[in-house]
Amino acid sequence: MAEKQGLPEGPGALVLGIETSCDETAASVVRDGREILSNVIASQVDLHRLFGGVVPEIASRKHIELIMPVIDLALKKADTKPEALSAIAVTYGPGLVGALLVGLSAAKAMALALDCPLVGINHIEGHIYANVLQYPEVEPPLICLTVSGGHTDLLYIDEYGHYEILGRTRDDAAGEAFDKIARVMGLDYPGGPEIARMAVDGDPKAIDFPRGLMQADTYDFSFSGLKTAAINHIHTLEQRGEELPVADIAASLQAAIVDVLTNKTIAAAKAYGAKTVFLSGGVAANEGLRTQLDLLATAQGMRVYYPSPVLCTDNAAMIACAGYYRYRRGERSPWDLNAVPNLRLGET
Amino acid sequence: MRVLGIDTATATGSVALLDGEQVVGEYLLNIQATHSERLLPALVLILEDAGWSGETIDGIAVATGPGSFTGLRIGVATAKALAYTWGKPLIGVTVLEGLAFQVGFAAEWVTSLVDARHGEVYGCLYRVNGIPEMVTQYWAGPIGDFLQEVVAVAQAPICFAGDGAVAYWETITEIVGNGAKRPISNSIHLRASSIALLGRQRLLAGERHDPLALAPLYLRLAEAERKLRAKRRKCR
Ligand SMILES: [Zn+2]
Repeated sequence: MAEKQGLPEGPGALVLGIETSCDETAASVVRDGREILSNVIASQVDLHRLFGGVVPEIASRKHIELIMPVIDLALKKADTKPEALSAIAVTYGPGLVGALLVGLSAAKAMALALDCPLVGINHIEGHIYANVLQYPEVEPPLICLTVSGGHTDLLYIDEYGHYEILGRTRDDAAGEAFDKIARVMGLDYPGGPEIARMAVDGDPKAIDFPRGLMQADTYDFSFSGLKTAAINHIHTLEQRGEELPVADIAASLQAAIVDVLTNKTIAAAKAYGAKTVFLSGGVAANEGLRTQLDLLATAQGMRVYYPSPVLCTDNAAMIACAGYYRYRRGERSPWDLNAVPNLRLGET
Repeated sequence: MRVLGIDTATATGSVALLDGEQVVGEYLLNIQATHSERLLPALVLILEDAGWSGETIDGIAVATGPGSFTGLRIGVATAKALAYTWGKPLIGVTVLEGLAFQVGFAAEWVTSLVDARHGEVYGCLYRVNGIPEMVTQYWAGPIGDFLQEVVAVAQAPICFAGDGAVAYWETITEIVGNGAKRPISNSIHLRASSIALLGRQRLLAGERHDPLALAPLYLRLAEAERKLRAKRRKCR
């Protein structure tokens, strides 16, 4: 993706980040890779609720409406002008191709108009940088678990910009499983936060849901077995005409997902001798996941970091931050950069 | 007035530079590569070759649609971001009026057709006297039905332009007969210079589109939205 050119200037670098990979239109200005001057996120969640999930064409149509107002607001809130920008960083994958193309096209045009560097960013790398943004002093080596509606990835990072994918989901993403089961239970979209809310009053041991691949000799995840078991369980109760113990189901479901996620993460940290664990992505906002990961990590003398809620969801500050470090290394993306819906870390 | 024109509505993609009424440069590609890969390199090339920059451009004209939804968004997003960043006026021109304008010297009656696949088109009938004037409403649906509407109002000869005219030429000659005319291949597909020329006239007349707000002309709802509306209608 990137080629190296002359060295960029010193401190005070303003990077505009742009993110449109799914259903959030986001733009942000970050100074020197650590100071967030603005972080504008226009969520389309209410719109997609009508359809029970993200509809790609509708997301793309919303992005083209929102992209320039969001960029304009990000610049105004940062009290800056386009000419003051040092570089433009943009998500080019993974994600919905039509959605990605809106942000990417705007980013490329702005970079051309300003004659400034364009830096394409992998969305998953962005999620890692949500933590770097918040804890700039933390150094690798570290293990990073990224969980959201779209991804479940376990990574080993020996230095920033250098990633080893240890495991990823073989079927549904963790957040996706949450959403689908919540829909069957008749909960609101998006289901993840709803399940977390319901789980508070439930018994996590009420139902023994399967923990896919937990004992297997792999860092990969699988949530389809759990999803099927949970949906079957719900249907069985419904057929018997029994009232759904929503809180117990939610708590047991969350316990199963959290068990798998935390076990694999701690096992990876141990195997790679990492004392630091990053948690990121939309599901990183899940209180149950945070608490258990904290508990297990502390017992092993490790420390867990997770971003504040606004940096857990898809946002452009994390893209600007990731872009800043690539920009400082002299990396530039070419004008023919295309959206790559299945982009994997380490690939270009 | 110097105008940059952009079109990415169909498989043909082009950019053009206009100085007054003079076409200074035009770069057109009709290949398989996506507009995302070829638009920016084409822009960089034509600006460099002409020695133009943001400062020397007085306005940007872009084809707003109809066409491929994704293609339209690439062109519109690019044009909006350029206009915003350079602080230059923006004008959107529809693909249908661009096509009519492009072949308007050859016939008074022009039917612009964009292929919408599966026997359907986006279309509009224009009467051209320098500037195209809409005679029918915008059409999105089966080609046959639209042609019936066209022959009912237009007088032969009727010129048919756009990739829809290429895709459905047989149907057109069947329904319209000898009165149907087709431009040669370098005029049948939209050119960014036509968008720029028409855009220039609008800009000179003081028209502007907001670079924050300009949206593509889809002429069709997203599939999921269509289904949702149909379902609601049934429920009622
Ligand atoms: Zn994400």
